Amino acid sequence: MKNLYIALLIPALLFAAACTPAAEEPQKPKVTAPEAAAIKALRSNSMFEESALADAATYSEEQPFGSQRLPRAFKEAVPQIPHSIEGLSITAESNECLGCHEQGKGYGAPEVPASHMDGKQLSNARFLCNLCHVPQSNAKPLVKNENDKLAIPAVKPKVETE
Amino acid sequence: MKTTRREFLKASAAAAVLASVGLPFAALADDGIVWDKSVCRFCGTGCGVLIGVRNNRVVATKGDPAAPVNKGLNCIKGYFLSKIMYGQDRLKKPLIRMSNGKFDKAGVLTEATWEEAFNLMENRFKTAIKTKGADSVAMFGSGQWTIWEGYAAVKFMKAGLRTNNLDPNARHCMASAVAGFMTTFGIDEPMGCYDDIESADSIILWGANMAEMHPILFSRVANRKLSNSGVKLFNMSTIHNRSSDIADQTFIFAPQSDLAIANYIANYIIKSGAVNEEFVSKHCNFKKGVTDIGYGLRAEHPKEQGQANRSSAGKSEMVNFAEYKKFVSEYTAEKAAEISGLTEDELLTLAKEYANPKRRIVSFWTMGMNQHTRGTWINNLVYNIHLLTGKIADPGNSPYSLTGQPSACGTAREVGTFAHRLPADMVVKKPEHRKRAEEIWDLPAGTINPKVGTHAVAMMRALEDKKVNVLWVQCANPFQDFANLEPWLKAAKDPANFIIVSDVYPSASTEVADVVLPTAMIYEKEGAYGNAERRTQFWKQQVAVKDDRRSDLWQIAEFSKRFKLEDVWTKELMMARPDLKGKTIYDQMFGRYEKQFPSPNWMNDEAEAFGFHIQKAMWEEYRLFGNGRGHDLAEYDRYHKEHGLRWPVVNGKETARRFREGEDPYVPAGKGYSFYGNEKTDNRANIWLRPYQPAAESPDVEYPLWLCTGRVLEHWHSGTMTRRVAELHKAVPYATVSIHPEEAKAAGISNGDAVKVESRRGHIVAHAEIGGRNKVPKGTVYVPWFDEGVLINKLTLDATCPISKQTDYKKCAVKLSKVAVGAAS
Repeated sequence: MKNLYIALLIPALLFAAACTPAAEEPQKPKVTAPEAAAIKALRSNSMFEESALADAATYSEEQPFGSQRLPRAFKEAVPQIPHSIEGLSITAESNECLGCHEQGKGYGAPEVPASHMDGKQLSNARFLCNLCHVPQSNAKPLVKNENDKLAIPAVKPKVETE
Repeated sequence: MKTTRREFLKASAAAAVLASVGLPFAALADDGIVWDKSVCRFCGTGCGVLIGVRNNRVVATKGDPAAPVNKGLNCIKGYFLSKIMYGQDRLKKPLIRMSNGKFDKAGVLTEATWEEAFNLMENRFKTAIKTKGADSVAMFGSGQWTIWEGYAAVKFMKAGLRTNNLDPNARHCMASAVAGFMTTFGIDEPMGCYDDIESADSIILWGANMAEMHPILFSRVANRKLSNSGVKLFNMSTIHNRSSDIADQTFIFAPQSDLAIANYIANYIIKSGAVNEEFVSKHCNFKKGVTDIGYGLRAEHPKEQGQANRSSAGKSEMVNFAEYKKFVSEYTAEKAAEISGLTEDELLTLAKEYANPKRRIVSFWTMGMNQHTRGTWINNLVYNIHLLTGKIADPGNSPYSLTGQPSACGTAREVGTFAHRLPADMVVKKPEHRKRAEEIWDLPAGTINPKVGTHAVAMMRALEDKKVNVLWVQCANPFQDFANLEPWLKAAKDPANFIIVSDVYPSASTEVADVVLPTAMIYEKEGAYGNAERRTQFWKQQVAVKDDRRSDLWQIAEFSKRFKLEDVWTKELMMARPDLKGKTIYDQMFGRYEKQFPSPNWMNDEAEAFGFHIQKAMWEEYRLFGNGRGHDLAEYDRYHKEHGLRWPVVNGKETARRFREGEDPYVPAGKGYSFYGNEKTDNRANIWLRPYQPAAESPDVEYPLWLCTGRVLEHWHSGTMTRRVAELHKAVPYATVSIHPEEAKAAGISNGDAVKVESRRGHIVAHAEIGGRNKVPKGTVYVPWFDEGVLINKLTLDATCPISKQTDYKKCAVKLSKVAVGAAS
């Protein structure tokens, strides 16, 4: 069987060699598999087929108190939420994030910084924390980002002892 | 952020970098980062940002404290601008789909040179034009193009190739808003400005999830409301969303019933004696439109049969107040409640708010009203309410059409990158408008084609019909964002058709493209955007471009060198201009300004490539269209000094509110208000008689649910940029299907389960989301469209507003089922 295969293969190769590309079209060496794979949209199959369902991602179930801070994307980048926000809400009447993050609470939660304050109160323009701060799931990045290397490691929280 | 020359010279390490980005905004800070002003890449809010560059890399950004729009605040997407250009699979080189070194539509994208790519493109363009005429080529552009990129495209296609087959993705976004402005006011774009938020008593959202889609404007809304007791926020929506978090009241209405609600409110205003009679008698006319207009579907479609005005949907006649009053009297509270599902109490709450002469009201809307088969009508109807009460062009009184894209206003609308348009609201079908364009562009009379070209949906249908055979896409992702995707995907792969995609990352569209051109991104070029409050903002190139990437502007201008005018113009046109013999499109549209606009002394790749300040040349020519015609723009250099200027800029002064005496220089003294877009009809705004009509495709027995599509805070549009930022991706890693908890339970679906959503046109499989940020009513499912792995537009219907030609992405009929994990599609 193997000999037959080789016997068929050689004429096939000779035939292929005889067919040179047309002169007007750009001539390029045949692309190797890694190069072809590099030009890929963020989906698994052709546009005409269904893309494979993404792995289910889960968000942190860690309770706010004692959760570890996340690295920041760069110096002074906006920090993201490492803990579950299940059951926590922001309404016109109350902002439950402030329960821990208000200045002077002493829970070790990052305090609302001076930039967010209007005198001694949280500025109303900054009232909706979730326009900028969101929880992070365990989903793996789809592609690497060159600027990931600028990330600044998380700071250990300071917790006041009684 | 100024720095003295002495400080500049001291900082020798960064001196070279500083020299290249230029003073005075650029300033040296610690750790070698140079900061300069620019704007956010994303939504129509147009936040000012500071870009931090070190070693030719954008390493940080922050909100610009000096920017009036956002005063130093950004939203989460804006805070990650420093990462959007750096995904590792960023396109580096031109690509041609090949097998064995030959172009092959069935091949794989293979690296090539610009020369090779342009050779192939030139061959395809010229073959199509020669065999079938210029209308066999088309360009799909973008409300994310810079202003001069859109302008270059208009000149290349309309003046050079003489086809009007140029339409932007803004057709999917703002076309109904534009048609609303043109039919009500005779001139495009909002009369108010963002400062109206800080004067409003009530802020009413009409189908716009502002909390996620215009977050910084919503933070201004929150600030206004929370700082001033008595200020109310009402969220009118088909879905309970995050904008309800701080709302005083949420009104969940049935899809499409906004038409009935708006008419009811007008009826209430009239019946309760709340009409501002002085304002209406001085400043308004009444017009009645035709109603048998169909749904913008193909002529053979059953819904188009018997629709006598499907091709003349804009027809109208002048009527009077008495007739209008009679027309809206049909929209009683009872009827509006029946159509909308709101209670009569809820309707009364809304109506009373609008009718109350003491309450200043800002109505905000975006896609809920624009992506609508009666999008033009519903825009008219909300203007009606503000006109009846005189709550318009007044601080805090503002019917406010918000723009989605960063420069749908500045580029697509103002420059006229549409199949029917020219710059400054002019249209190709009017001889006096074509004449003006030909004068400014120094063209022989008759150059501009009077035939309206293919609007977006028509472009895809023409591709399917093989009437358009060459499509060049720039800065857009049509093969993810068009409704009813399947036939367009097939058309793209048809051997008769040739698709070119200029983009920055692999996308759904590059998957079906024949040629892919690696494009420079926002901070890699000198640019300008115009935001949703008419604020035109400029920025300088911040970093040098890597690899073979080139800006859209460079691509258009460079490619235009390959077309001699005598090859694309008629003999008659060439005879009228013997001086243009031998000249190329480039020479006449761009190159003729070489001597007049020398290159700037700051980093500018296009100036380096072409030998002159091409952006400035295009700007200074472009503003000739609008100056003196209500669209005045300031001189180029001024904008590099400012944090934007709101047009019309007259005698160096910007205009906060248009149509209002004392603020708008076009309003003569003593007039109070003037809607001078309707100069020919006594400078009056039009109140329109527009009825409720049902959606194109409503739920039925087989497909019992509404599908509504939209967005999430963390992702922009088709996700090509934001999904390559880990923090944004991890926040929302994939598109989910939001389902009502009772309906999920009945179908045995739990949170996270794989579900299939199917329409007559296609299906997707995605994870279910129950009780998340979007709490859908029974009978509706919601799926955002940012995820190319969940191509929800395979399901949507390509029905449009027949006037605006904008697709309705918010309403079609689907069915839902649970899928066993690992089941085949």
